[in-house]
Amino acid sequence: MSLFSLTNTMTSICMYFQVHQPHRLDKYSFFDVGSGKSYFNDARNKEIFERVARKCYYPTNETLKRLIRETDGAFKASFSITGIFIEQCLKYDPGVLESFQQLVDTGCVDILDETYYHSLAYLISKDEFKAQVKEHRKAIKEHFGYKPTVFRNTEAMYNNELAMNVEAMGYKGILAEGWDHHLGWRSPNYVYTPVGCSKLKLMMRNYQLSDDISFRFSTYTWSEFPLTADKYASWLAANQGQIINLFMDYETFGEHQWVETGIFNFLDHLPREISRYPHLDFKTIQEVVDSYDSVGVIDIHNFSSWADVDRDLSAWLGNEMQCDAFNKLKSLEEMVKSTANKELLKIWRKLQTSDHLYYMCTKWFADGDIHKYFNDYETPYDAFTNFMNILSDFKRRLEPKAAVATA
Amino acid sequence: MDILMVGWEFPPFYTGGLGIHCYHLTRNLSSQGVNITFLMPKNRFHPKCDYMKIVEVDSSFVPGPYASLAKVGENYDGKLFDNIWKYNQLCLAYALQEKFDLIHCHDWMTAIAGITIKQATGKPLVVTIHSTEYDRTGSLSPNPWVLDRERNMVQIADVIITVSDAMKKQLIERFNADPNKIVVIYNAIDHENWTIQQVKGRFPNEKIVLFLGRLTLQKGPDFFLKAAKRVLEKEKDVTFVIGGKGDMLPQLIRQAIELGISDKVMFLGYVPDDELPRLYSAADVFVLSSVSEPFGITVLEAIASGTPTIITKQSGVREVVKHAFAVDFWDIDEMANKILALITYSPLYKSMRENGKREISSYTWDKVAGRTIEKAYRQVAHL
Repeated sequence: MSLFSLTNTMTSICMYFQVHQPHRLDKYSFFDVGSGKSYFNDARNKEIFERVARKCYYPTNETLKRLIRETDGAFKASFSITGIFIEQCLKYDPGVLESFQQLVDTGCVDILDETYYHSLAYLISKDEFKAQVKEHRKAIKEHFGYKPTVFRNTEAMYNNELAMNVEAMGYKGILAEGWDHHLGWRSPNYVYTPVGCSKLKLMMRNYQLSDDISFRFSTYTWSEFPLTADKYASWLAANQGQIINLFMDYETFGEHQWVETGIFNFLDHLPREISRYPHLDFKTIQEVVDSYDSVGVIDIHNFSSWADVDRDLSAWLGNEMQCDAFNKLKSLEEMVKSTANKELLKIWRKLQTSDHLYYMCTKWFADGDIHKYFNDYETPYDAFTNFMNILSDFKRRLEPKAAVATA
Repeated sequence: MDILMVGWEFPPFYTGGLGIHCYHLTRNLSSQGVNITFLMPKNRFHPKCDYMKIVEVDSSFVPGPYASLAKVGENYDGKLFDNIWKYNQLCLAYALQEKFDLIHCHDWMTAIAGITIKQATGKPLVVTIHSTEYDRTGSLSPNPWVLDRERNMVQIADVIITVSDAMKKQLIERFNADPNKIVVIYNAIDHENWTIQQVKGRFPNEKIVLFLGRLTLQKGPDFFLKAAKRVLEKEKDVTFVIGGKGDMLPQLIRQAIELGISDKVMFLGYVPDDELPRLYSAADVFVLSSVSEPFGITVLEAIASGTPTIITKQSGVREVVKHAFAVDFWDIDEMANKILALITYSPLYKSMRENGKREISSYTWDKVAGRTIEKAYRQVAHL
């Protein structure tokens, strides 16, 4: 098998899409603390969900379904869909969920596991992390009848220790950012093994080729603008390796890159252009894990992620406010769990969604545009204040119940 | 390059930001090779200046730009406008004997001089608009004669400098100014004067929230007091300090009593310049509650002194300062929410304090002078 994969001249395109929407928080003033007002802004979440469904989820799903049909299943893709996204489907538009189910039913699409709440649960505790992954597995089984074998942590946050835990949980593969700092002279276009793991396979994002689509596609100052499917396919064809990992947010299609940019035409033509190169094919991540052997070991001690230019945790835990908010939330774990109150546990977990921390990021000056676009708050200070006011209220609700529980 | 600048006041005597602005601007223009003759009305305090020629024009003493707010027949008996007219005529007489490349004047009090000198000499006119009558009166019964001076000035000037983009928009909307003539040059501070001071003897268990400005409708001190009331409902150990004087003082004292917070509000009256750095540093939060504010230089001073700020969305400084809270002046609850957040959540206070100071460090008078030369003077005088 090993000999085969090294001499195999095929290169597999591996497209992976992250599907996620946070439960955005309602405006929560100091004067609302103790009022019993709800933390989540249903009207706003509904509005955004419906907008993105219209601009991205429905049209992109339809495009992918058609591509699978037209290529007789040669086109393939992988998804991870957060639990809280599924919740919002059920609440605001179950048709979106059906559309994803149809896509999975084609057999050309696989699903990855992750934390149900798109959280930093791994940094809260191993127990909490496992509980959220388990909840996600359950939701994917329930809604898609699918059992994922590959794991992706929130925003591709990754290190050696996480990989070892994920292997111990029974997964066969894991995703990470293919950052030069970690790869050194090596290419992201191969399957690797994390340090300390024996069977787990590591697939690393080709950020250059991924970002050509997700970030640069409509940048008219880019020297390669406009990006056409035939040009992009020729770049893919010129890459060597087992795989080309194109990992991106699903909202790239129609939401980050608007329909007017021609992103759907690009996607439409891509499989046909790629099919002109006999040494290229599409594979799902699970198929990659099954088809290719690891070529080496990758050592990533400190956390990496796929965010910003820093590729670390600094988009979520990069300043004092973010660390404080996260640590205060984290410190409630024992108290929340001691109450055995399902509603409080659910709220505590929804507050863990990484987006809430992302809104508090003060790294405006280098790559602030992205942060601003995804942000409902005028400043990171507003985001922090709102979150802390909610946390103050949450603690007030929690403490009497925890006292009863421990009495 | 020879500039004839028609000014209004100059340190040591000044009633508003204009005097300070002229001091820093001329000093930095001068160090960048601009030769300035500065005209100003003679007053009891004689300005000292070694880098430019100051000509004190002897019209009888006249009050500051806010004087139009005085009711005619009460304090000034209509003399203000006579005096301004006289000052401007004397400036013209002086200008006719001088050689210069362009005229630069500031706000409505110097408008007539600027315009008549331009017409008499054919030299280009640069005007800086620091505020308009609409700002100073909160748009409540603006003086029509003053508005006419402002409109004239804006229409006849060759280049208009405004201290914010909001001011630029205002001039376009209200005075039909030509957008192509307007250049926005934000104000600055002298960073050496504003540093974080160790303040001894401040109340150890008490947070201090500071307002500093003229006590007039424009500055919104009444909104500040209403927010104070809301804060004190949640947090007892806060003192609200109001620095500055103005015609609203009696009303504000009454308001504090009626709100039942008079023991938590301190009126400092006029604060001398040399006490300001310590005052800013002693505060935990600085609030600019202005209903209308072309720029708001106190915000830069507070931030440079290490004090997080809450500013109104109606202020020009908002275009410059991102590391601050912005609220609508009328949104008392939100102002109170943000004051409470800053005194409760220390990581918020620390982050805003550090980021703010870093952010404003690039706003220097040196750059203001450089931009004035490049974007204003060189546009109209080929030097």
